[in-house]
Amino acid sequence: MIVSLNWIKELLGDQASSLPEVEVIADTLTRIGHEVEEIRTTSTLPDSVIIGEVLETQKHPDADRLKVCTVRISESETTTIICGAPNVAAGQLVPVATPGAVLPIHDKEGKPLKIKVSNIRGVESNGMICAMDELALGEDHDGIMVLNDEVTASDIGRPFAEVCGLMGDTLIEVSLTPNRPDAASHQGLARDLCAALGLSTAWSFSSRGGNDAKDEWRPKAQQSSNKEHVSIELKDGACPRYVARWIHGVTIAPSPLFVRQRLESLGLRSVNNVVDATNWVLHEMGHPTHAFDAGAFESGTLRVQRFDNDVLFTTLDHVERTCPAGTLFICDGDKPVAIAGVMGGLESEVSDQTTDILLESAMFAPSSIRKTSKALGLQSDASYRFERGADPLACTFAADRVIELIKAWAGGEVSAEIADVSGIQEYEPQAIEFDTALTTRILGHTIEDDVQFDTLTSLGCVVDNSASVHPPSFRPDLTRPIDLVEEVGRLWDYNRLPEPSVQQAFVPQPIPQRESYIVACASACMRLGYREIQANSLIPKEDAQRAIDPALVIHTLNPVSSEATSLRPTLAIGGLNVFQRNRNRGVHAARCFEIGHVYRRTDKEGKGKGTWHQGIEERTHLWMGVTGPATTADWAQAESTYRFDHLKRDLLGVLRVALGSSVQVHELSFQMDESNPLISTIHAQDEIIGTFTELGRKERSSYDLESPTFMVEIDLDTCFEMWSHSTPTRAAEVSKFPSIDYDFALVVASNVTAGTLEQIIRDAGSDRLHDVQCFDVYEGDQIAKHTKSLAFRCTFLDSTKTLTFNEVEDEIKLILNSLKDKASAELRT
Amino acid sequence: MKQKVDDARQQIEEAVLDSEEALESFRLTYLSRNGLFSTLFEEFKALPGPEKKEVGKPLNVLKVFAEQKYAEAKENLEDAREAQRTATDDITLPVEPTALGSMHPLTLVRHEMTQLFMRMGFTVADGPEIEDDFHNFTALNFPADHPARDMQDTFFVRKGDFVRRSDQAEDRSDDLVLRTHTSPVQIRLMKEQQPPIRAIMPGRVFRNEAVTYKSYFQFSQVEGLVVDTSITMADLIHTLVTFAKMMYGDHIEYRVRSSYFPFTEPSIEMDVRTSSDADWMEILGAGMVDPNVLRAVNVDPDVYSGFAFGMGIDRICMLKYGFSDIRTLYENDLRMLSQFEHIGGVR
Repeated sequence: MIVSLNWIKELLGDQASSLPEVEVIADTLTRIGHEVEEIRTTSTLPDSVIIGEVLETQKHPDADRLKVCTVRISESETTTIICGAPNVAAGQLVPVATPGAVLPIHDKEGKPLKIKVSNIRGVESNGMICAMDELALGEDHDGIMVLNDEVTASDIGRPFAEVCGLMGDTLIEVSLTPNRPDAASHQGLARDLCAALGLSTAWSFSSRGGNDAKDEWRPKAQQSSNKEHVSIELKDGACPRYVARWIHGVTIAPSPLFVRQRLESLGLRSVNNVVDATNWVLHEMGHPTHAFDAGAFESGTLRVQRFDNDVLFTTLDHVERTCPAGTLFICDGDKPVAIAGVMGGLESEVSDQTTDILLESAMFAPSSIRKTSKALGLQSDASYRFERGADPLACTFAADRVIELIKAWAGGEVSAEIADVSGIQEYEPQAIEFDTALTTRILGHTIEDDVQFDTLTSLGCVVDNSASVHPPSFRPDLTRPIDLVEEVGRLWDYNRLPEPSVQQAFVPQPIPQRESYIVACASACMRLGYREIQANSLIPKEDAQRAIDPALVIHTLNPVSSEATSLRPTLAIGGLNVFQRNRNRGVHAARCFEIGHVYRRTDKEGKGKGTWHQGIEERTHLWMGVTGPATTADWAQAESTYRFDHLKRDLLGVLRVALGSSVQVHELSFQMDESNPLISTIHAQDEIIGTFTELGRKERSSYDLESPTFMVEIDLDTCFEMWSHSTPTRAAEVSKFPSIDYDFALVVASNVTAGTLEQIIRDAGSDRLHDVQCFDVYEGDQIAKHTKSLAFRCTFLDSTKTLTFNEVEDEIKLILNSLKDKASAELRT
Repeated sequence: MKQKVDDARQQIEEAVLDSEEALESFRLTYLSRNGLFSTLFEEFKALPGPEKKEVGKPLNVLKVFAEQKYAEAKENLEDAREAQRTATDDITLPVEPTALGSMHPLTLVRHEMTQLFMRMGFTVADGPEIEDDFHNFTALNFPADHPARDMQDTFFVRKGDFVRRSDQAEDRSDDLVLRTHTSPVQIRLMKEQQPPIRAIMPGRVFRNEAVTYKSYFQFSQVEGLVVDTSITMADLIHTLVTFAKMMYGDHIEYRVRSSYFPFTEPSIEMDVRTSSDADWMEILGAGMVDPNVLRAVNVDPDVYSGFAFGMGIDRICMLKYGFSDIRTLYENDLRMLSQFEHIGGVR
């Protein structure tokens, strides 16, 4: 909200002189919860812009579109001014910038425009007759300003700004919090400011809490005479009160200049003298009112009601809207004329032809207004305030004030009739039992009772002797003792709280293992030279649906863009997108990892590991990927690309951390997908812990990747579960005796995997079989077709003695027999 | 025989072993299996006793001498060869440094913050990123249909797509949300555990906001929660100031101002600046846990009180490392990320 400092000063009257400088005002507002975002100043027009009268206009002898005007600029003085405006005419009272005046607009060089005596095509011009934009009073440049409605001939020669009440101002932009509807007005903010500065706030209360409020709620004037022939029917609890006033014979015209200037400086559009009066009061007191063309009410009944069906309705911004069933309307009989508390209708709006006004000053329930405003995607100054909670007692005050302004700006006859209908008979003011000790308990510092109660009183609360506090009707946020503590603390200033005198002694709770586990896994990747990335959790729908069964993909109902519609079911997509983006920026080599959440739907019953909400699985994954050259060519080495074993080696290293001692590397198995040999699942303890993928040619090209690309994605939730069964690391004795290596080469059918052979060897070997490695793989002319040869090295080790060759040979025999039995493996000779 | 040994001695002494070839020829001539010493020792075996006595010692001495001469010469030659540098023995040849891995700057900052809070006795808690309305809003005192919900633009997710696709009703009450803050973890923690509680909740959160240089639809937060029998606003401010000084340096100035969050009452925000002529930077929101929140998780607000705070990791990361555009953080340009190799991971 933009706040005019001039307006604040006007509201403060005599106290205005006690206000500190604007920086202090801004700091104070910020400190008490109304954060100041920007301060701007507008300048006052110089006194050398005066009121003049156009006495005569003649065509310029040498320019078709210019006129030579004779202008009276004081009782005794006239001067000649050249003017190009099409509307200039004799008899007009106009603002004249006399030579020497510096205007608040810029010339072509960006400097403030200074008026000089000039010669325009042979005729001397002694100043400028100004249009609105030239005086920074608006956008209008269609013609010069004509002031005949604003000033009189006796003003000729006097400073224009002074005569019209146009003052330079300081505009303070404040960011309001949603709990403070009362602060959405100059009066409300000024009240908080005065309370914080220790100035009197008595001027600001048109209503207060306590028993006064009960009286104020009771309708002042019963609708008895019905001279206006409109009876009011409240058909819905969402409108607890409706006040209507009438004023006849108004003259619709632009508002006085100072009104237009102020409204526009606050970012509002000046409409006409009647609508401007309602906006003025809204920004002055905070209560929204609405002016109807009284002629719109033909049926004799103004009804506030809802409909069971959708309603097509054109609002005064010329937009036809489908208002959902249940929208609260102001109706002429059953014909909607305004969306209650949100926006009026085009048909009933105040137009140039309007002569009679029905002024509405009502109260609407916040949730009803909010639902409508949300459903229509339409927020107005009125709905903003109603949905946060307007002052229920303000209806009559606001109506009085608007009527006063309409009468002043648009004339007319105020009807003696006041319709004031209340849907609820009694207003029950809030009463809060307040123990000031709560303030000490919450703030950690004792503030004297007097100070606390004075603070609350300055904000409009009524404090009973029994320490029962009645908050004012304009503070819907004050309902509990804790709310009063905040009021006291806020104005007392939290920055003054002393450091706690007693430091709490606490026993720190252990850090969950999972926290350090995740860090350890990330560090393991980093130890291997991988670079961490953080990709988007939200990805394009098509990408997600390509990765898993489309029915399992979770979409957001209100995506921010087509690039971010769906929750990632795997980390791989984000990783490959990073590869692609870098590749397209010329970075080909990439070696990356990411740890993050992945999401999918599940039909698993109940909640369990990775499932916080039934039907949704959310798990933590670790992704590693490599692409581009593994080594770049230089004087010492050739360029090389990645092979699967590069990533497999790194993966096994990371799994040493991720699985701890619960699973040994040789207890992992890799199983190729039967339909796609480029994808393998990784198994540990009969569970799938991840997927190892070589990117196929087509997939590579869809990500612009030329080089072999490998990636692996591990479910860290499953791994953590296994890891948590690890035995703590102990420094175990290492054998002091040498090991013996035994090499042999096997010939097996091509479809027998190395993993199968390794497993047979390990199963057949005794405890002394320490390690099994494959050191050569061959297929080719030297052995039979459809066979391949694998050479294994078995390492034997005994922790109690030096093994003899004979002992090892016995073990090897068993191993070779087992290989022959289970895999038809022959020794290669 | 003696003459042969004498001749050999003279030849051996005179031999010049200054090249590979000379050395090899020396070895072949004297020391190899068919060399002179083999021959001489064969002959020596056949000698009669007295002559053996006369020749034996000089022959052995000569053989040791020859072997030493050979070994020395070989050592010298190898030293000479080692000292001779080829073109590829040039240490000034440029090479690429071995790529070290690196942590993402967001991870670095998150861990720095986590470590600071751990020093202050906080533990760490986590929870899901897809949440229900209760944990993300209702339990945190966001009334339904309240403008406070506008403070956090929310992504919604249909809960039941998979299980009840046939249900046509537009019932949104069952919808899940992408958590807009990590506060739902506070709710989960308080549901699981009675006070005292002293924990932080780092994690990724989501807001349905237009992507610009200063806002992104996902970002990371660290929130904190302390609940015990006598926790006060003074404790809160002291904790925050201690953190801010550790994070930004002892010299910073700070200010606390009133604010509004549905889940805290009173609510505050804190600004810091590095000097009295610098601009204030908002770094966090905080407050005393609202009694309604405590009640929602069955903690008695008449017995316990607590404070909570929350700050954006992305924003602190941008300040710390000089990022001017939040999008850069999620772009993952490897040239950008490689700069963080200099930092030895998380500490």
